[in-house]
Amino acid sequence: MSERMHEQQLRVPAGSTVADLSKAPLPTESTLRKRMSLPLQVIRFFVFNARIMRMVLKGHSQDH
Amino acid sequence: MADVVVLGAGVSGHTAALHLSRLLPPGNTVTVVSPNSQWNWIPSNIWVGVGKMAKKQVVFPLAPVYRKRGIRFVQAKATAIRPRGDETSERPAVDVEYTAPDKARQTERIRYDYLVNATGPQLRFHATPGLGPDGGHTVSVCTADHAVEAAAALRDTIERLKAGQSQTLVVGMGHGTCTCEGAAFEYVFNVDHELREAGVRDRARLVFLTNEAELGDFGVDGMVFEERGFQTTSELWAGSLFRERDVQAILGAHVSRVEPGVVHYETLDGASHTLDFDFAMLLPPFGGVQLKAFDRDGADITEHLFAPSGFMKVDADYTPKPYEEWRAEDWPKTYQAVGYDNIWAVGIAFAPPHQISRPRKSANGTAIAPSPPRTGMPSGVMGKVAAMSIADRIKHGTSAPNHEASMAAMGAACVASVGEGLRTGSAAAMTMMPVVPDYQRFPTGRDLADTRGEVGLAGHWVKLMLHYLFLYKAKALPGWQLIPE
Repeated sequence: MSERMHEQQLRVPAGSTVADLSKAPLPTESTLRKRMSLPLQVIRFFVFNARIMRMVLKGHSQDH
Repeated sequence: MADVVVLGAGVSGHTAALHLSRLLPPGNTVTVVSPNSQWNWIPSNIWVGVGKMAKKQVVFPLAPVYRKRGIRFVQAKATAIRPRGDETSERPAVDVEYTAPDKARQTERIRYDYLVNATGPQLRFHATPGLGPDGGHTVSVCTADHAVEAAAALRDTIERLKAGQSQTLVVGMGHGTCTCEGAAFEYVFNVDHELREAGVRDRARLVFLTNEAELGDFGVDGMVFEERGFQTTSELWAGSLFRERDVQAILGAHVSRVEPGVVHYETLDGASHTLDFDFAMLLPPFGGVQLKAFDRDGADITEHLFAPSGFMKVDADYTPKPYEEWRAEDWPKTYQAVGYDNIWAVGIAFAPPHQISRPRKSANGTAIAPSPPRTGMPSGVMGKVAAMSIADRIKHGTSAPNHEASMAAMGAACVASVGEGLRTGSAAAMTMMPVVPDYQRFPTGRDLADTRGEVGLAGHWVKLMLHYLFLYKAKALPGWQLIPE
């Protein structure tokens, strides 16, 4: 990770207005694997859709 | 019997027209006026803009759908509203100018009993000299045709990278008051994905140039998420993705002009800067379409119906007030026009009471803050609500209460694809409830149970599902009305 940051800093021209993101959290290898894990992502897919449906039911009709 | 006219056939107008065709008893008419002959699922323009989807996959002709639903389709642009009629009739009317090739520039005055203004945005590339694909030096993904051009320019850039040249690619907002930061966010990560797939990412400098003061603002003042027992922010969440993908971010920027290969911009501290580029996709600011309004005697009453931005004034609280005094109640609930109980303005066409993000000006007084997004899910809901209110009035009389859908009480999902492929794709998927934060109801402005952000393959599947689902719905195929907006 530090190598990657070093590369990024090398490409930022002097006096640049590019934001300093060196404090932003980097995902671990485990997180990156989970993001692409088929069984886990199938579950996330259904959870995300369930959340959308809950929002639809709660907020799309506001009639009194 | 009543005649309903819908101006615009984007997400909001098309949704309103389809529901009206379902809800109105026989004998009433629905007319849609749109300058475009095709419907466009705009969120998927991102994929067209990187060459992963063809234009024909994101558009379809409107006329057959409207024929099937018994809706009259007028391919024309509206030029004026006459809400009290004209010298010959008290019936309200709208003036249109045809854009269909066989009737180009012919005009017609269409009478209405109820009007839905869903004209969407005017793409104001002209607000920034040198911006845009028509006579400018940047590309866009605002329309399917723009996205096709963007894909070609990106392909050329990738070829130059493959030839060993270093290239700077700039993606973002072409003006300090732009909206749709989510679309630019999505495009920059799709470009990153394409560059990695082509094996040329190491020679490319990828820059996200935005009017947001902080990453993750998205024009909705950012979000607070709850994660593993902690409250975190969309700023940190988005920053993580930028750092992971090595995308550089320039924040709080107002693009003042674009010259060939150079973007000139001002930052919040008032300083002026330049950024050299080989490829630039910069979105334009939005304004209302240039609609005039006239009284019966021909007097110009445009300023009574429209805000200076060109958006139509509705049941919002437009009293100027500081950010600290903004409230959820400022936002419209019914979208009924000021002074006219038979006109509604929905989607991008209604004038918001103020921004959602904190308003900021540079040291020189230049406004640099995102305008409020009013696209996608909320836009469709507004269209449906207007259709339901009109249908009730026609069926039960003009005293029937309006249906309501405030953006301060409705949620939205923003699924920003950050890569393509059923096994290799990914997306930054966010949900927020409500869209406009309500600090009187929630300490963080939003319901933490429904305000979430996650990155992963599942988000890509959701984005793909929404693509097919909304095209299915928009084509009014069997069961379309069961698919929520």
